[in-house]
Amino acid sequence: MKTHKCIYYEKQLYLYRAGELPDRERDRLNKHLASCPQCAAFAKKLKILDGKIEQLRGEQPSPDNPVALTNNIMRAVTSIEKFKKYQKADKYGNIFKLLFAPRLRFALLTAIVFIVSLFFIQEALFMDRIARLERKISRSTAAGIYTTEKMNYSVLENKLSSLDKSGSFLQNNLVTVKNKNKIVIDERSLTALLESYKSVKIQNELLIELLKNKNPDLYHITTKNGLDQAEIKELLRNKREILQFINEL
Amino acid sequence: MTDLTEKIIDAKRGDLEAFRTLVENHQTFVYRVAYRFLSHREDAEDAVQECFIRVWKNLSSFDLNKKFTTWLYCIITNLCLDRLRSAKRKDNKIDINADMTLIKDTNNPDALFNNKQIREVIRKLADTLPPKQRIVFVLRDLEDKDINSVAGILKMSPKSVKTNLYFARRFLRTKLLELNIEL
Repeated sequence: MKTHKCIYYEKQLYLYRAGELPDRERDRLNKHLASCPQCAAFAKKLKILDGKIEQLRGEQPSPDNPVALTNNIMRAVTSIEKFKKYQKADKYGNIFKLLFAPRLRFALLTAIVFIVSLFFIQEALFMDRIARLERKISRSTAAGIYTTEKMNYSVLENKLSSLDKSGSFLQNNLVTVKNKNKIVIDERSLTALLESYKSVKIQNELLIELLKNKNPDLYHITTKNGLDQAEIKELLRNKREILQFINEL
Repeated sequence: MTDLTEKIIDAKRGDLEAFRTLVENHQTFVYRVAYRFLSHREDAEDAVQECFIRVWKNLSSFDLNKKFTTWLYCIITNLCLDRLRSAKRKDNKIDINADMTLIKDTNNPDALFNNKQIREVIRKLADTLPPKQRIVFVLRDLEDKDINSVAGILKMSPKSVKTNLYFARRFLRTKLLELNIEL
């Protein structure tokens, strides 16, 4: 009959068969097996069971068709690789598609129009500011021709006097050299002077000197009464060659 | 550097031919383990295929300092454990008595089981074990892995492995006695 001891040693037997029983416990188990025929028989059966299991271990099941199995695996792996590549390509395709989505296209177009208009508005404002600044400068420097320090005034005066055949040019204080950089021209005298020179060629030469060719500061030619370049253009409207010259400048 | 390591490195770089060599060299071993867990040829082949797909996908993260076969053991064991659990959920109960009748020689019903038949009975009985006990039984008793290795593969404590093994063996023994199979 199975006692509590037998139940305990039955468990110990499993551990013993698995090689998990410590030496001390193993000695106790052996003592019990020697005294209990029931447990000894059970131990024998367990040993046979282990033998059968060991035989099972010896069986080596293998796939029916190893080549076909390998091919199936490789086919699956290849398709995974293809899918990965497709996914990668599709990712870029989606971004491309997104760029051409109607909503995004409209938004992009709006943004471009907005940026371009902003540029033109800014440009117009900037040009307007420059024009206003130019006007302000010309007003504040009324009746002046600005030259650079390098300008040779005596040469200019000589040239002017040589051109001034009527003699009114300098006598009437048409041109006054106020300082090193500033030459003042009397508007009425200038008009009269230009009128007095019937020859367009002489008028041109005179203006060339006045405007000082190649000197950009002389663009801001104004008369005593504060006429700006546009007003001078107006004054010289009928004198095409002069106008052309000013335009070229 | 061993040939196996070289093949693994090549396969890591995406070399399909190197991976094919790895499959060819290891598929029989993986199949054997899968078949011992699942006891079904087609299921085992499916598991092998899934195992190698998983290997391919995760090869970049494989640590070359670790043993490749241990990694394969981990993957196939987990795959089979999932399959066994889902099969159990489907409640595919095995009628062990019916199976025993089939195993026994129909011409001589009173004859004792022969060795081959006993092995078949043990295999059938192992199929009825709970998934974890079955995995532990296969790894320890059939694959002859030591307790610590089994614990490492299943990410269990050695004590837990021993307990599962004890219950698995006791179950087999009890069932064999219930079926009046003399060992």
